[in-house]
Amino acid sequence: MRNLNELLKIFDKMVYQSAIGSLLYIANATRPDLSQAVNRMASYCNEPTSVHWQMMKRILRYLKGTINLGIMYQRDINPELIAYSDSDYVGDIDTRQSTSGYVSLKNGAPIAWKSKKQEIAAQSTAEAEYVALFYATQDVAWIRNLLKELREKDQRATIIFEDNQASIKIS
Amino acid sequence: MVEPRNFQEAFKSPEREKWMNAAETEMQSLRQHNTWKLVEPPPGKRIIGNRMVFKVKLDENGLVERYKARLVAQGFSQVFGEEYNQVFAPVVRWESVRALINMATQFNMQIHQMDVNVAFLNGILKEDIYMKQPDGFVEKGKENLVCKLERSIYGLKQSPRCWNEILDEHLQSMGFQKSAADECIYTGKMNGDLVLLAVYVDDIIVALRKSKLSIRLKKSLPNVFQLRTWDHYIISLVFVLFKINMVFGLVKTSMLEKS
Repeated sequence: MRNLNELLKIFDKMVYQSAIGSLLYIANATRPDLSQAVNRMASYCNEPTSVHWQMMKRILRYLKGTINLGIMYQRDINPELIAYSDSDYVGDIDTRQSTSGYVSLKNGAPIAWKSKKQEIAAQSTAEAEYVALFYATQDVAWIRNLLKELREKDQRATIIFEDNQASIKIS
Repeated sequence: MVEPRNFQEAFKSPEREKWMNAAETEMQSLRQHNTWKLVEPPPGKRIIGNRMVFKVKLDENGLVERYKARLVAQGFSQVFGEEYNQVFAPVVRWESVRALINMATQFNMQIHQMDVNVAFLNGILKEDIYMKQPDGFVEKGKENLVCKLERSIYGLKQSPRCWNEILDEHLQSMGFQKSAADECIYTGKMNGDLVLLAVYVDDIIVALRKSKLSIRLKKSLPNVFQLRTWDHYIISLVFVLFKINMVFGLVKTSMLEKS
C-alpha cells in the first residue's frame, strides 16, 4: 500500500501534466504568444513543485483574460511571407542551453511558430542567435515549398528579421 | 448521466432505448459496409474480442446532442506480423492548415468542412483477422461462427492507415495532387477552378472558389464515402471560422471555455 502523501503527489503530477497537454494544444493551434511559456513549463512535467504551479496559474490567468484572441488573415495585407527569429542566452543555467524561437507571418497573421531549447550550448549571444536563425530558416524553407504547392505565385526571397548584429554579419 | 461500459450495461440502463437505438444504428453501418462475413472459427487462429463503446455526444454549448455507439475491436490482442504489419497514418500539420486558410483568404475562396461518416469502415484489410460476434448481435443459429473481417473496423491497429490509403487513392483518382511537403494536403482543379484540401483522418477541410463546386465535390464523394458537411464554418469544434468581407479568422472557442 502506498501512503496518502505519495498518492497525492502522483495525482498532483498527473493534473500538472494534463494541464500542460491542454496548454500545448492551445499554444500550437492558435496562440503563438503562449508558445514560449508553455514550452518552458513543459520541461518541469516530471517533478512539478509549488513554484511551477504558481507559474502555471499565471499562464491560466493570462489565458482567461485574453480568451478571445485569435488569428485573423486579411487579404491584401502583407501577402509576402516574413519571419522573425530571436533567442535568449543561457536560459537554462543548469545545462547552459539557450532557447530560441521564430514566428512567420503572411497576410497579416502568423502561419508558423516555434519555441525550442537549442541542442547545443552556445558560447556567445551571436552563436545562440545564429542557431535560432538556422531553426527559423529550416522551417521557412518548408513553408515556402508548401505555399508553392498551394499555388502561391512569384514568391520573393523571405526576409527573416534578426536583431543580433554579429549573427547578421556571420550569415 | 452514466455511460454504459458495454452492451450488457446499456441493456440494463434506464436509457436502454436510446442506447439500443444507437447500437442498432452502428450495426446498420457495419452491415452496409459488409464489414465482415461469418465463418467457422479457423483452427489455430486468434479470435479478437470486441466491445460496444457508448458515448453521449455534446454540442458546442455542452448540451446533449446524441447518443452514440461504436463497435471497436480489441486491437491490443493483435500480434505484429500476424494480424498487423504497418500502422503509420499521416495527419495534417497545424502549419499546413493555417497555410491553407491563408491562401484561401488570399484567393478569396470559401472554406467548407466535411466529415466522413464511419470513415474506417471504408478501409480494406489486407491481413486475415477473426473477431467474435458482437454481444447482443449474435446471429441466431450461427452462434458458433466468428466474423472474418473485411474492413478496417475501429480499434484495429492498422485501421487509420487502411482508411488513409483508400481516401488517398480516391482523391488521387479524382485528379488531386498530394503535396510533397505535407502528405495530408491535396491540391487540384474542378471545372478549371482551384480546390485545396486538408485531411485530418476523417475530417476534411476544403477551400474552393465557387460554392457550386462544393456541391459537385460533395456529389463526387458520397457514392464512396458517406459525408456529412457543415456549411457553417466549424472545424473540429475547435475553431470557428468566420467570414466577413473576405476575411477569414481563427478563434479558439469551445476548448478554452471548457478548460
